[in-house]
Parts: sequence; structure tokens; C-alpha cells
Amino acid sequence: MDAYIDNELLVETNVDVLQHIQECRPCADELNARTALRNRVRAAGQTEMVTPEFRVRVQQAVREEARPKRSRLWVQSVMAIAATGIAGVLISYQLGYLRWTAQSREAFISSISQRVSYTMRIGLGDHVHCAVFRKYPKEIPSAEQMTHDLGPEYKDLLPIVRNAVPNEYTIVVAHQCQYHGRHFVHVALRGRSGLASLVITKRSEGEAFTRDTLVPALAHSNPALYQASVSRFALNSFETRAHLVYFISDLGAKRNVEMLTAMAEPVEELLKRLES
Amino acid sequence: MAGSCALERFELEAMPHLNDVLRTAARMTGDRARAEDVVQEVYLQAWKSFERFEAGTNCRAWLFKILFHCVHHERRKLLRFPILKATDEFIEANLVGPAPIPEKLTDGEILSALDSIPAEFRAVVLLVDIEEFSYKDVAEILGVPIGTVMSRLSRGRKLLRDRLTSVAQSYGIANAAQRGLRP
Repeated sequence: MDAYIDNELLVETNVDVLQHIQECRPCADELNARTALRNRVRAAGQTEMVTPEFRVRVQQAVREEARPKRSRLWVQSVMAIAATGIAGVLISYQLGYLRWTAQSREAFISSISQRVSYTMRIGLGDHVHCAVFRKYPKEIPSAEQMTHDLGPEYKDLLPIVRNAVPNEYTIVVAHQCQYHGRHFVHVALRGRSGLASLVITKRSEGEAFTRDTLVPALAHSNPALYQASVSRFALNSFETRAHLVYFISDLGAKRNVEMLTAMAEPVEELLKRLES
Repeated sequence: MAGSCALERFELEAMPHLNDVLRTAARMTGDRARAEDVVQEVYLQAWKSFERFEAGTNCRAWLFKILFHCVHHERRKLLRFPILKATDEFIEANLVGPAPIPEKLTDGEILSALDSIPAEFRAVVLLVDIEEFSYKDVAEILGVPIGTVMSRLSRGRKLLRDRLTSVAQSYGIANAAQRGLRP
């Protein structure tokens, strides 16, 4: 009878069932009951469940997977060559202590980088390399100097960051920098409890925060913020069409996401202006 | 580039079925967030083996096959195995004749009754009744003989019906429905 309802019987058998149903009331009732249940379950179950966010998440995950593996390998090998190169140069200069510190810094960055996703690593590396290890200058540059160092395109970041963070934080670095051959716009802040960086870089093809977990509370925020943490560092990030934006600090996950949330909208607007 | 062409073809073929795969995953895992993770994994695996997928064959059935493979993989730790309670067995054994179809039940009640039947029966009911697969496709998706599909479907529908009957009886609406069906 189930096979009849599901239209899985041979035509001849169908006819036999139909003939029987016409003569047999209990079977006709049973057939009606089963058909009604099947239709009711079908109506209840055929729901629309996919949110646009989830569709994008799956699409981006597949696209990231589809990205030719060699591009990732290529970046890694370039990074490896760069690291070896730096170490080699330092050895040839025979600056013993520098060689070791540089190597151990790189080893530290690489060890913590392996614990966050590929796209998160980009911003984390620059923060640790530039703000944590290289230290900010003893004499904090003047506002004019920082504006000059950021360049005309990004100088508006200074007031944006200033207005977004509590007064106890001082902007100690605002410049453009290079790390592992990649260009970054970097604003670093120091407060009583730690060090934070806003790091912006141009997005290369295929780079996206797909595989990272969305901060649930902010999944619907605009822009959507991504989150990661490693060692003592908390990372939040978002992306625009052509840029990746990171906020990294050792202030804890909650404070970190609050600070990026406070500046995300104006930063995004600035980047969209540059992109258009 | 050949890779991006394959990706386009994959998105064109596979993405339209995302909703169907997700709702089945949600009913099989009983948890929306976990279902999303499983479905993302399904699509990643599907993409990785897309070159082995033959164009023109049933992409939807192929995705469901991967889904049940993934669900099965996590089954031991993740899947809920509701135990048939003595009362359910009693009701089942003592039902006579066609049980009423409680038409006053809500979608939510129907779905939670569906969620409460054992996974192997639930899977077949989901695939046939909701996703409208043929028995042959279901046999292929679940990797069981077609006879097994038919017996599980019959048993699954009966379990579902019995559960809905007892839900309805708890409201006192079953008798009315029964009278309506059996004058």
C-alpha cells in the first residue's frame, strides 16, 4: 500500500490495487489515512531553512577549498624563503644575539600563526612583528608625523581610532609597514592593560575569513566580524571588497571585539571610499 | 582556468540543493548548528570528489548520499537514539485498524514526532515523504537494498502515525478524527 501511495508500483499492479480499493472499504480508509499522513508530513517538512549567511558561508568554504593549493604553498614557500633569507643575512653579519632573537621571534610568530586560520595569520603576524617585538618608539611621534606616515589615503584613520577607543589608550604607532613582503597600514595603541593594533592590508585573490567562526552576537552586524584567539592574543576582523581589517590585542576577547565594533563602521566607510 | 570552470559547474549543480540537504541534516542531527557544520562538510567533500561525479546524473541524490555518509560517521557520538518506551510499544501493539490522522496537529508537533522515531526509520521517511526521492534513489543514498527501504518506510510511517495518535489523544481530539474517518 505504501508503494502504491508513493507511485512505485508497476502499472498493472496499480490497476489491481485500484480495483481492490473500490470494493474494500477498510482498505480504502487505510489508504486515505496513509495518504493524508504522507501529505501532512510533506507539508510540515518542506520548510525553507537556509539563511543567506549560511549560503554564503558554504559557498565561500567551497571557493576557498577550490583555490589552487599551490597559491597557499607558494605563499608559504615565499615566507619560508624570506625567513631563511633574513636569518642568512643576519648570520653573515655575525650579529650573534640579533640572529637568535630574530630567529626566535620568527619561530614564535610561526608557532602561534599555525593555530589560527590562514587569513587570520596575515594580520596577527604584522601585529606581533611590528607592535609587540619591534616596540613603539620611545618618543611617540607627533600627530602631524603620524598623519604623514599614514599617507593621504589612510590619514583619516587617526581620528576614527581616536574617537573609538577609551581615553586611557594612546596611539603609539600610525604608519605603513612591510612584513614578509606584504604591505600593511598599522595603527597601534597602548593602554594600561596592554597593546592593541588596527591592521589593514589589501586583500589578495582568494583570501577570505570563510572558515573562521562568526562571532554569534555580531553575525548580523554590518560588517560581520570574525573572531579568533591564540596564545594571549585576541583577534577580530572583517573584510571589505578589497581589504582585510584586523584588530589584535592582549586585552581579552570581550574588550577586543568591543574596540573593533566601535570603529568598524567608519573604517569600513573609509575603505569603501578608497575602493570606489 | 579549468579549476574555476569546474567550480562554476559545481555551484550551479550543487548549491540549489543546499536547503534540502540542510533541513534533512537538521532532522537527522536534531541540532541546527551541528547540521550547518555537517552540511558545510558535505559540500566540501562533494567539491573534493566532484571530478568523480558524472555530469547528468542525479546531483541531489549524490549530495544526500554524502550527507548520510557524514551523518553516519558522526552517529555514534552525535546522533540521538531515542529508546522505544514501554508505553509506545504498548500502544503500537494494541492499535487496531487504521489509526486516525490527527489533522489538528501543528507542523511543529508533526516534526517533533518525526524527530522522536529511531534514526534509521526517520531517514527513510525524510527521504521519501519530504524529499520525494524514489525508493531506488533512497536505496542508493543509504546503501541498503530496496526491500529494506520499503520495510523501514512502512515501519517508520507506522511509528510516526502511532506517535501522532498518542499526541492527539492527549488533547482528546483523536476520537473526533477517528469518527470522521470511520463513520
